[in-house]
Amino acid sequence: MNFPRAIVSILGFVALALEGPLPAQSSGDPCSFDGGVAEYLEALGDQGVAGEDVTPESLRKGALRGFTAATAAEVHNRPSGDGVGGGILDSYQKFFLALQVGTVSEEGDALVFNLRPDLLDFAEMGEGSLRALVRKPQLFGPLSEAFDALPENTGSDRKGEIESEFTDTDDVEYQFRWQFGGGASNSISEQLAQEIFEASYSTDVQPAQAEAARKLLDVKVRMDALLRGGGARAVSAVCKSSEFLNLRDEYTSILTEIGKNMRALKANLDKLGYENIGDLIEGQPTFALDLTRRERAREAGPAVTSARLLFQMGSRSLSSFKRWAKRNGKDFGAKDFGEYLTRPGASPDSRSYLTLSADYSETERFSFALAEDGLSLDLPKSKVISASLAVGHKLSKERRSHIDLDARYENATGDPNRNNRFVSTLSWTQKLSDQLATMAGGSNLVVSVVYANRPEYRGDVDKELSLRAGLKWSVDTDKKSSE
Amino acid sequence: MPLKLIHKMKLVTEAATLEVTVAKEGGPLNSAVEVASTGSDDASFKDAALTPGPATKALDSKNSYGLLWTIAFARKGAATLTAKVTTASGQTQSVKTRKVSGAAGDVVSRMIFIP
Repeated sequence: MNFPRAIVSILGFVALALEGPLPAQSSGDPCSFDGGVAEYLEALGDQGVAGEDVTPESLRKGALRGFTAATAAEVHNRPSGDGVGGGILDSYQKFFLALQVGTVSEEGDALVFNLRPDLLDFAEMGEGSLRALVRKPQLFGPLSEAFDALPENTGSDRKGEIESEFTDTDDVEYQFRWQFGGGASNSISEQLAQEIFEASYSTDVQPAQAEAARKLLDVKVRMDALLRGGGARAVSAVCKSSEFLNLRDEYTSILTEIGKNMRALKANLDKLGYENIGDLIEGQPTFALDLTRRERAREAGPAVTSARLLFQMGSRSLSSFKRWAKRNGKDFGAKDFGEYLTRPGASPDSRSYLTLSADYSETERFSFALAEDGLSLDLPKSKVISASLAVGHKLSKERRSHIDLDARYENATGDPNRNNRFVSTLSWTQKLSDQLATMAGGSNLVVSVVYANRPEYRGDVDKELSLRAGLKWSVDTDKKSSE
Repeated sequence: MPLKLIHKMKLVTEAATLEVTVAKEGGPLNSAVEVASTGSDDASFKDAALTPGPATKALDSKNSYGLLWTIAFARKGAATLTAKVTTASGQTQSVKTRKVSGAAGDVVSRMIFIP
C-alpha cells in the first residue's frame, strides 16, 4: 500500500520546511543556558521538584515538566518506521504536528497516527475515531517458511532481496471505531469532575498556589533585575554569581512548596472520589463498531478486512449513579458521589462487568511463485466468524478475589483448528499475600474449569473431568482484565 | 524555517488584555490558573472560565505577570493552555502555549511568565 504520490510530496515539503536546529534546553548548568530568565526558570521547573515533600505522583510524572524541554525531547526521540531519521514517516509525523490534524505515538512495534477525536464527533449519534498503524514490514510468515525450505543459501538470499525492497509504508492498518453510549455521558461526567475539582481546589490549595505564583514571579523579577544590572541578556552571563545561585535555590524551594500544594489537592480529590469518574465512564453501557483494513505489500502478506460489534457495561457507571440518586432522593453530583461509591457494586473493590462481541474477518487470497527456484505458495481466501461473552465479578473488598466466565465460538473456513469451535472457561482468581507470592513464584492463584464442544478444542488440563471438560490451576503474574 | 519551540511573550507596552484558554482532550480533567502580578491586580481563573474560555484580564503595562496552572486528571487525557495578549485594538501581541498529558489521578503544575 502506498499513499498517493502527490500527498507524499506535499508532506515531504512540509517536513523539510520544519527542519532546523533545536534550541539547547539544558538547565542543569545555568552557564550552558543561553536563553533569558523566563525560559531558564521554566526549564528549571522541567526537571521536577526535588525534596521529600513532593508527591510521588509529581516526581514520577515530572510534575513541573515544561513544554519546551518535553517537546524538544519528543521531536528528537520520535521514531521512524525504519529506525532511521529523515524517512517518509518522519515527514508524516511532522505533518501531523504542524497542521494539528492528530497525534503520533508508538504502540509496540507500530507507529500510530491518530486523527483528532473532535473531527469525528457525531453528537447524539456517538463518536468516532480513525487511526492508522504503520508497522515495520516483514516477509509473510508462510512465505518465509517456504523460502527456508529452499536448498542452501537460496532461500535466505531471496528473503534478503525482498525485504530490502520493503518501504516504510508497506504494512499499514486503518482502524475506524464508532462508539455509542459511553460518549453520551461526557457532559455529565465533566460536570461531576468540575464540581469535585472546584470543591477540592478552592479550599486551602487555591490561596497556597496563588502565594506560590507570587513568590515565583518575585524571584523572576529579581533575576531580571540582576541581568539588567550587568548589562547582560542571557542567564549564562551571570550564572556564577552568588546572587543568581541564591535566587535559583529560592526558586527551587518554591517549587517544593508547589509539590506540597499538589499533594494536598490530590488528597482532597481522592477523598471525594475524583479518580473513580474514569471508571464510571468505562462502565457506561456502550455499543461499539470497529472496522479494520490491513494492507501490505504483496510479499508482506494478504490484505485483511475485519469488523467487530461490541457491547459492554459495568456495575459502576454514571447511569447506575443516576438511578441510585433518583431512587434514594440523593444529589446526582459531587455532594453524594462518595456515598454512592460505598454501595455494593459501585465500590472500586466489588464491581462486575459484562462484555459481548461478534467478529467477522476476511483474508484475501495469497499467491506467490518463483519459477526459477521452484517455489510456489497459494493460500485461498478465508473467512472467520466468532462471538464471545465475558462476565466477571469481584468477590472481596480488597480486590483480592474475582470470578470470570469467558465463552467463545468461532468458525473459520479452511482452518481445521477453528472449525465450529466452542470453548468456555470459568476462572477463579485469588491474589496471594506477599509471603505466599514469593514462595509460589507468582502473585495470583488461578483455578479454571474448561469446557469445549469437541475434545480436540479443550486443550491441556491438570485434571480431566471428561473428554470435553477439565480442571486447570496455576500461579501467574498476569494482570486480569477485571483487575 | 527553524522550528521554534520557545515562544517568548513580547513586552506589554500599552493597554492590553490577557486571554487564557484551556483546551481538553480525553479526560475528564480540570484545571485552574493563578495569575500573580507585581502590582496589586492578581487574579484567579476557575475551570469553568478557562474551558471553553477565554478567561480575560486587563494587563497593566507597568506590571509583570506570572501564571501558575494546576491540572488534575480524572482519566487519561491532555490539556493545552493558551495565554494570549491582545492590544486595545484587538490585535494579538503575543501567544504562548503549553501542553500537558496525564493519566488518571495525576496532578501537575506549570508556570508561565509575562513578559
